[in-house]
Amino acid sequence: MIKGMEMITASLRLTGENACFALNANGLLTASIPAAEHRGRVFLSLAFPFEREEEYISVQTEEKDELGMIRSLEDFDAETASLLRAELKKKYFCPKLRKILKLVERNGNTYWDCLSDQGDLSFTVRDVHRSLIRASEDRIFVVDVDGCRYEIESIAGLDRKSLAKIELYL
Amino acid sequence: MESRVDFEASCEKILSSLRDGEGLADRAVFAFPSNLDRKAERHEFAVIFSPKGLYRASREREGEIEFFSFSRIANARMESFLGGAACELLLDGEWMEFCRSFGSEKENISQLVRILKEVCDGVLRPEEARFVYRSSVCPTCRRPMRRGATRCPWCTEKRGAVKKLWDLIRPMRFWILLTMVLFLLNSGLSVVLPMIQRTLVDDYLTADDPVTVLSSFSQVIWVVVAMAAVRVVAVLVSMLRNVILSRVSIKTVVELRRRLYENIQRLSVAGISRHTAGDLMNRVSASTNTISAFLTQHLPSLLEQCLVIVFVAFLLFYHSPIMAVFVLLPAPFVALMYRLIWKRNKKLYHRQWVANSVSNTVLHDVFQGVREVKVYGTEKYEIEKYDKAINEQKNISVRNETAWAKVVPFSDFVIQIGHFILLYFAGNLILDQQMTIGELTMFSSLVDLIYGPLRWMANFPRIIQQAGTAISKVYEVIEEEPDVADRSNAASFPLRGKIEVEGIWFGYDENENVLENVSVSVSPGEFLGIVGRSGVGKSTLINLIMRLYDVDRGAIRIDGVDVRDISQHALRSQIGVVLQETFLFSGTVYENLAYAKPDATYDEVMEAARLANAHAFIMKLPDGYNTFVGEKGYTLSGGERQRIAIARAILHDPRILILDEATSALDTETESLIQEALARLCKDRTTIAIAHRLSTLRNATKLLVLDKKTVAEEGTHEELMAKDGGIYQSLVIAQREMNTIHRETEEKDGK
Repeated sequence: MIKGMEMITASLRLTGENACFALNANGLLTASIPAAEHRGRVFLSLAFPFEREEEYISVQTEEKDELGMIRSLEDFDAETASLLRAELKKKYFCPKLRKILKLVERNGNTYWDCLSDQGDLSFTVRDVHRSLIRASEDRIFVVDVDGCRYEIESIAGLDRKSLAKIELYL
Repeated sequence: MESRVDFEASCEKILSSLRDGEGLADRAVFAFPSNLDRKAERHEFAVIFSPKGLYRASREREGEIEFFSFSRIANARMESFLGGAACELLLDGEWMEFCRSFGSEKENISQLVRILKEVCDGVLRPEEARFVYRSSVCPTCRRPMRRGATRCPWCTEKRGAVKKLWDLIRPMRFWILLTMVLFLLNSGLSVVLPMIQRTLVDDYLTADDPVTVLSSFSQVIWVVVAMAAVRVVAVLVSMLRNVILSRVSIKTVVELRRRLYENIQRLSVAGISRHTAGDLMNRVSASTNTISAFLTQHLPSLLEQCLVIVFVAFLLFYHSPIMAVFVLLPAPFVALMYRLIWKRNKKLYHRQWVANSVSNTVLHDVFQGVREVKVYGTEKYEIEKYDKAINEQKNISVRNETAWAKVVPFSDFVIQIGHFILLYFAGNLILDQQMTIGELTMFSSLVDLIYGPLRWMANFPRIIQQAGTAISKVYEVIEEEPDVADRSNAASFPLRGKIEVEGIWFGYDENENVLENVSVSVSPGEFLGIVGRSGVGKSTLINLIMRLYDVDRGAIRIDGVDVRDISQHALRSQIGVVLQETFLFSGTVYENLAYAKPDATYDEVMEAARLANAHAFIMKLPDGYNTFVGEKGYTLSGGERQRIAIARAILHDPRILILDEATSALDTETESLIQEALARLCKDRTTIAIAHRLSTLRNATKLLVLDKKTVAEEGTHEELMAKDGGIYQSLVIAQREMNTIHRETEEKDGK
């Protein structure tokens, strides 16, 4: 930690002790954070979306001003953690690809037909080498022409046929 | 996938099933699908906008319909998330989520929100709403395509590789044909030699009658002379062929690089940014060399070797069909072996190309940022990073080459098995006196002649793989359509400088808009200052005026003509730009100044430098205007580089001038020199300036304050200062306070 900055960083950390999250009557996330004098709608934003999906979560107002930072969902009870997890899922909507059924390259684009946790998906990827984000050796994200992201949680976990289709681009 | 007509019909069916108290069915003004529920789970809905209100009907569970009357909706807004968007409604004083979509449908959510806002503000009657269904799905093949793309890459007919390559070498076809003729001549001469050898052995060396041998001694000399002459002619033909080939090869590389570079220049800033510098360098240099070698050396060789094989095989079959079969028997097995390895190595060659491109990118980055590397002492880190990149490249290359290193000698051996069988059978035939030694010598030489091309053919799959990868990489860029392209009837005319920005929306990526509904108008000769926090979209706005990108919605007009209808060259050649960071090309100060006007005279260049307050410092340099400034001009200070940029802009003599933070990060004295130069430059030109230092904008006739992606305030300095609590007013007050503190500190230090 940078010397002399401890007070600033410490005051930003949100836990179950100083922040209370809930859904309002319309199903939108709200928070009561007395230290930030805030009570109302909040938005979540991950600082490291590829590396820490349940840590370093920025809590922001409607104007996107940061109210505080959640260091880890473990700082909250199970119910709140699950509420926040669901909200993050909405913000970082990213179907997980289980199987690559068909992958055809044509004129600089690749056309994917996949089976995902959200059902069958068909999408187009432009310049596939630049549209694959390697989060780790075994985990990649694919970004399609609409900016939607799809995750392959484990390359090694893919079946042999799917792997053979994607191998060329890894 | 469902068509638009089918979707609309299903929406009508939903509405017709709903009847109000008087038994009247509602009707749809427009409708579009949404694909997520409020928990971000996949669920198909139909969003229907009717004169009465909004419907959200599930298309998976019949009868699950929500209705929100316009009388309850006070406002609407769009919330973006990764790859999608949600529409929120302000209902009875509380926000609630109405619908949610990811993928191409988010465009329609954005339209819905805009229409709802207008309805809520009372400026639009619901039944008059105009909605254009936007889909980034190709209407022909139903496959998703890039937003704004005019052609579907799947449906676009592209020329095959052979046609592309033929197009490239067509101007040199005569010379390539000549090299082939020369090669065939050479090969013909090689075939003649074994025949002369046979005559020598059978008619003279192993003749039964020794008298004949002695009497024909003088004739033997002529046979030897004939063999030597054939060799000499073959060498000369070979030399001529090599000279022609090298010239054709160089010409092809140059032509290919020219085409590639030309299209790179045509691409938009966004198009070029999609590739790294290392990637483009790899395509321009290494890949073009590979293609040229393939076209001018390997491909003609392939045809030549095929002809030799056919010709020699014919001779072999002519002389002894059985032995010819033995000789050629292993060839199909070798071909099968290569077919198997081909499939596996195709992927490896592709990966090798990518690894090569990555290591080039690492190198390029380090050379660009060499000062940062030295300042932060991260040499070791950079060495490790490059090590990792080249190790990856090495590993793939080793795997690739090892496979070939194993296969090539083995296939060589397999091919030559035929030779051993031949010796066995020919030996028996000679012993049975069915064949002469001369015939065996000739046959053996012909077999050697056919094995050469067969061995060469064994290596050809590898050449094809390398060339195939290079061709796809080079033509991928050559055939890339520019995002920002001139229309066929694009206009060129002298600009007067009237700029109208009308309700523009723009985002660099699909996920987030940078500007939303921005409008402003600037008259010819007017000075517009753009103010706002960092990242609010100020530079984006001027990039759009220069048409470095195209707006997503709305229009920018110059002298009443949409910038998309003006030729890019005509537009930009009349716009001058001075940026915060001035890039100087490798070359002299003079060359850098004349970059804006290559035909400028020495007097014009010096006059511009004087007006920009640059002449004095240039004359203090050791070589004056001929001082070499090197890449990025590191030898010049920030203020000096800035003045060179202003001089460039003066030389350019633009009708519209754009200043993007032109005076930031300069000391007070330098700033005043530059301010003075800028004041001269702006005279009688339409000027748009961005500045954090508000004093820079003191000459502005109009100020535009951007906030939260849109226009927050607009007016003159006096008008905006009169707005209590306004953004501009608070920025000016904050800057005055900073200046006061700064002055007081300086005075205190002075004491």
